[in-house]
Amino acid sequence: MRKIALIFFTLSLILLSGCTRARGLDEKLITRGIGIDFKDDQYKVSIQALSNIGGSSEEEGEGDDTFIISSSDGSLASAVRGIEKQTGKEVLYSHTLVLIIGKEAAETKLNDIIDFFTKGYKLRPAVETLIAKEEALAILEEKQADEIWDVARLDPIKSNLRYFAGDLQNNYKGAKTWLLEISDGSLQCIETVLFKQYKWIGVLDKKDTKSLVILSGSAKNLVVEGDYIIKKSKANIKVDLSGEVPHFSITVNLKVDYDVDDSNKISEIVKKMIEETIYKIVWEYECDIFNFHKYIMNKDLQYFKDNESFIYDILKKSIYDVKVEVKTEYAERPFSDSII
Amino acid sequence: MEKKYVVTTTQMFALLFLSAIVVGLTYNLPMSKSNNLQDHIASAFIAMGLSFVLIMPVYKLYQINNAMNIADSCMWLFKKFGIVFLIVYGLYYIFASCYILSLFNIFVGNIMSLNVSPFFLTLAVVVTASYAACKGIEGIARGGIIIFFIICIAIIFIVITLIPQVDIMNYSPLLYKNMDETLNGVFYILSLAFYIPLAGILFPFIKGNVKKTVCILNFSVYGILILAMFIVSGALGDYLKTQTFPIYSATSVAEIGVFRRLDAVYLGIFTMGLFITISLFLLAFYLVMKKMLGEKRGKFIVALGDILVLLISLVLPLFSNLFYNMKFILLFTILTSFFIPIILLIRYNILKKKGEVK
Repeated sequence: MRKIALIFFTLSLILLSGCTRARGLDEKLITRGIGIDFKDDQYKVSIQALSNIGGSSEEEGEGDDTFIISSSDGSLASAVRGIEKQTGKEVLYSHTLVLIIGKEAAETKLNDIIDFFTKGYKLRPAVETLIAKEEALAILEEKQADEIWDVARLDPIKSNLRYFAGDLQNNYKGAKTWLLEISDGSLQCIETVLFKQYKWIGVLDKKDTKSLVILSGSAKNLVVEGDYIIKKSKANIKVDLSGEVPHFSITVNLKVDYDVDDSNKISEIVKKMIEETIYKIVWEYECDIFNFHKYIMNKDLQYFKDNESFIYDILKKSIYDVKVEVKTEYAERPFSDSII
Repeated sequence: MEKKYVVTTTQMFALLFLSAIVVGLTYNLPMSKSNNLQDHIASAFIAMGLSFVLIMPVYKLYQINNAMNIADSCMWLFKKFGIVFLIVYGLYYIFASCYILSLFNIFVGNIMSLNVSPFFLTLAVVVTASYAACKGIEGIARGGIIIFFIICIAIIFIVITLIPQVDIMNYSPLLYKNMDETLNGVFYILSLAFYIPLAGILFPFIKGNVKKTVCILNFSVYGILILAMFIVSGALGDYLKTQTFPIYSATSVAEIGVFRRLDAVYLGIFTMGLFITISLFLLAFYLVMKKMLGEKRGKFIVALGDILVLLISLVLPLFSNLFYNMKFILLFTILTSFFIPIILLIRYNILKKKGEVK
């Protein structure tokens, strides 16, 4: 009896395996980059997908092994289905490196786009989520997803889906990500877009973006005014609530590649940069991307609760004391790898 | 009734711990009517204390006669009327199996987007689990101890790879908002204490110190839950508000060195643990039904259990408003883990005073 059962199950496995709805990799569209644009009430989904599965390319190292396919429809799901109909393949999101959202889509439909890709677990949290200055499709047509991904990660401002979507959920914290632009044939991530609860707030220019990178502690060979190169940065923020207004002490430690005599000048330049950026973010944009409200919350929860409904007024009145400490190293490589 | 020792305390601890872990993997923020996992850390501490209260009546019943499981106690103390309680327990074990299996189907179908027929997936799990259940507790325990060790290693590995992802700024002061989220968390965590009614059926099989096993089990289950919540909250922060399965989301960001994309480990833990858990609940169902219908109808009971689990787990998501409702699950769990055992204890004391029992 047992032998019969064993034979039966073995034959079932061999003969019935084709009856499952499982699809092989050759029946799937392996995405590397996804672009979302929105115009005239229509979503345009563009996918940069791998074109060769299982075979080796005749010209190794040359030519595109990806292709771009687009589809437009009234909803994201329908647009994706349109792509699947065109190719006869199911979209496989798990290898996606970048999600690029066009400007108009980011300004009007960001909520729907992020929901589509996060709540359905379509994209991994590590996918870089970027905003295109014009159209997302133009970026994908110009550059490979790997290249976009490399550039976006070079000086990280925590622009992947996990941080971006997480910050959009926060009532007080602003979300930020790179603003992509193709200029003279090269891809640039030199500006940062700010959002607050899915609403487009503004753009930080190149200088403010550098301050952001320095304060985030992720500067790596960053060139600032005067061609000074910041090799590394580290920032520490503390808050004192004992006075009439919160007093933030922001200590920035820099490692720079230059002569010792110039360390005071570098310190002044970076201090001014950071102060101007904080002013812009707190006063102009009311977008707390540095989490100042969290420092207040962690220091004194009751104080935060008492002032929660007008926390931005509190932040505007606060004192921001920026101190920059510079350590210089012998300049081995005076050029910079940084993209900004 | 002569007691038959079949499994050691370590084996029983491993089995009940595994079943609790599998249920814990399905931890679902929307079902708990909450979107702040961090407040659930406090909930887990409170639930840990309450779990000792919940399991006390089941343990007391075991102490009265350690050769009898809860089904035996129902018939012994209430005679024919005990059948009502047996039906409740039978339904509970079927419900618990279907609940976990349906969430597994949802996870595989919607989250992992595997194009596998839910019917065949459920059939495969039910058939293998039923086979294990028919082999008895000893067979399940032997397989379970191996899976337990594999899962422990996997959990340690995931924790180590998640620690670098933790950001202190993702933590807020506990109970920053009001107590609602914490209370919802307590109710939700207690509603998932499926291992307590399961223990009521399995205790008589244990050879060794049951009291120590229960204490270590409670501390371990809630300890792991608290650790998981702490690390997941620190790693994902506000991103959790968009996620249905927070622990799965956390494993997809875990990385250390070359080890990345550890969500496959989550699926491995879920699948291995699922097999043991469904086997245990099916075994519990068989024991209850055999008490009610007799040993001779054994094959019928096995077939009945398998068909019920297969069909109900496929249909359960259609009635999600009822069957995935936290209050319903909480009431059902407390009924089987606490109220019915309390009623049995009261009955025992009454009969003891009358001299009808020793």
